[in-house]
Amino acid sequence: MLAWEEEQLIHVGAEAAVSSGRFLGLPAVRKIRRPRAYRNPALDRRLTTHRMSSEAKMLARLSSSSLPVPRLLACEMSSGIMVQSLRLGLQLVDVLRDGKSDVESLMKKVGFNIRQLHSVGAVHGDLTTNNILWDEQQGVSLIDFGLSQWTTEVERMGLDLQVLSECLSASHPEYGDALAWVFQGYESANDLPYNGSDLPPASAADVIARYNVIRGRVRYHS
Amino acid sequence: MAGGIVVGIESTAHTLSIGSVDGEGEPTPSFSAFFRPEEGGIHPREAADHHAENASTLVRQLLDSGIEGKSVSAVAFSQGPGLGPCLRVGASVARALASKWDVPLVGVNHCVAHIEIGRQQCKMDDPVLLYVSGGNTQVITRMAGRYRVLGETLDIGIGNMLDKFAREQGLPFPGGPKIEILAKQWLDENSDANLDDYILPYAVHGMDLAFSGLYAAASRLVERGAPLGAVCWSLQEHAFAACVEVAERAMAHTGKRELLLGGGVACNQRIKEMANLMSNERGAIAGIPPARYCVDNGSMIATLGRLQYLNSGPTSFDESAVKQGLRTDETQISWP
Ligand SMILES: Nc1ncnc2c1ncn2[C@@H]1O[C@H](COP(=O)(O)OP(=O)(O)O)[C@@H](O)[C@H]1O
Ligand SMILES: [Mg+2]
Repeated sequence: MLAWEEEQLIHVGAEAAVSSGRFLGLPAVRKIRRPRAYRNPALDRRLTTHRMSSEAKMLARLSSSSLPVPRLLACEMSSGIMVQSLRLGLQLVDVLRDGKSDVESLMKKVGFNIRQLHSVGAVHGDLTTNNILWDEQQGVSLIDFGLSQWTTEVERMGLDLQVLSECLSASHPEYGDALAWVFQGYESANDLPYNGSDLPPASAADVIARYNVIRGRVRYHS
Repeated sequence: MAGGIVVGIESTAHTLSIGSVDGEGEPTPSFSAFFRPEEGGIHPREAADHHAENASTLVRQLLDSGIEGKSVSAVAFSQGPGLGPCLRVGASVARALASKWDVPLVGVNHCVAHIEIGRQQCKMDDPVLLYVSGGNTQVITRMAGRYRVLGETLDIGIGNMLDKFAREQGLPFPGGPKIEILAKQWLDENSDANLDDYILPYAVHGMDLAFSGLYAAASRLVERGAPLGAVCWSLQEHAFAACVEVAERAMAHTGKRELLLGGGVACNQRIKEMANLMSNERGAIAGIPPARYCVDNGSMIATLGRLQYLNSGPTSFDESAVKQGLRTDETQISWP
């Protein structure tokens, strides 16, 4: 891709390989979605295109908000390459394993940012502790919008909390209160203006209530 | 007496099965009876009646295979999760055998048993388990002294989804194997088929999944005239890719390099192939136990029962009640 100067490979995930570098001189990351051999090629193409376009559209749309997300710098559908501005920080999964930070205030900030995202009519779709970054200066960032959706459905918002809850209880059981702190932050956030044409997003309390319903369903079937 | 045989009894759902493991931890194939509902889904009471009717035959088969009370050191049983009436039959058989032989009882977690037999069979140390069965679809791994569920289905288990679709299409129970055959036949005859002609939903949410929308959409494709074989193929491609994707996400998240398959759906050739391809691409290895140890079986209960008995001791009579909703992370793991 033109204007990309590669520095180093920083991550090989389930979907993409991510490297850091500069784009037009700006600190940036380049995300290349690799074809997955286990998937039927047509399905693989469909998913990759869909996820890239979801991520590109969501980042473009959120760029006018105050939300702590990367800016979309370039996107090349045919080759599966996307360039975003670099967000500073470590993945939350590593911050929690490291255990040196004030986890309570950190998790409250995480909840606050998730609520602000929901309040503009967006759901993340993949809120694991890999896709949340934390930096002393820049604070919390939300990244990886491939499964995101522009919607105000309470069910989808509840699912965001379910995904985070499952990840926290499995990977970070030593922080038994982590989810409660996330919810405190979520409920304390001031909503940002919603400019869409659907019904406005459900209230924070309604989303948490829906999360509890989803949790009940998951427990019950198993 | 440590080091003796441990007998294991499985009865969480369709299958009543009795197996054993020797003093070295080597399992012997189980004796099983499989409940096939006449029509509709599994009915807990009917399945439990089936188990009750078959219990004495299976016990006799076990005894005829040469197992003697004096060489048995414990009797393990599936304490949960599962269908209450079915679980209670297994627990009663276990209590009866334990008192007959005067040995302790060991109540074990069914899901954890799938992991331990898989580790034993595939010689794996610290795998991520993709557990795909009728009622369960979970991604499980060991962290901080317990097996933790990293991701799971938000609605129905993958096997139940396949069975439900098969039933609607008039295919005999269990539907999964029949769907596999139809999919393969169709693909053999239509090797240039394009999956984009049979699009189905693909529901991955973080490390969780959902299947109910998939099954309804597959039925609609058939209603609109798509060949059944093509829809079976598409259903497998979509559902299995989603399972393998969440397993890969869990591997990326934990940094682990072993993938283990378990559960009845792990007998399917296509999901095995996908698991191998994904693992190879990541420089990881896939472990796939023989089919008899992927499906529900008593030997896996014995395998976990032995580990638990040797490391944490038996289950007291007061604690031996069945637990329908037993969670995977409730079992304290005290063995390597
Ligand atoms: N904009 C960004 N700024 C800083 N780091 C990033 C950025 N985007 C991705 N990363 C890093 O790369 C990793 C993988 O990127 P992600 O977009 O989550 O891809 P994947 O779909 O493979 O999970 C992230 O967990 C993070 O560590
Ligand atoms: Mg990610």
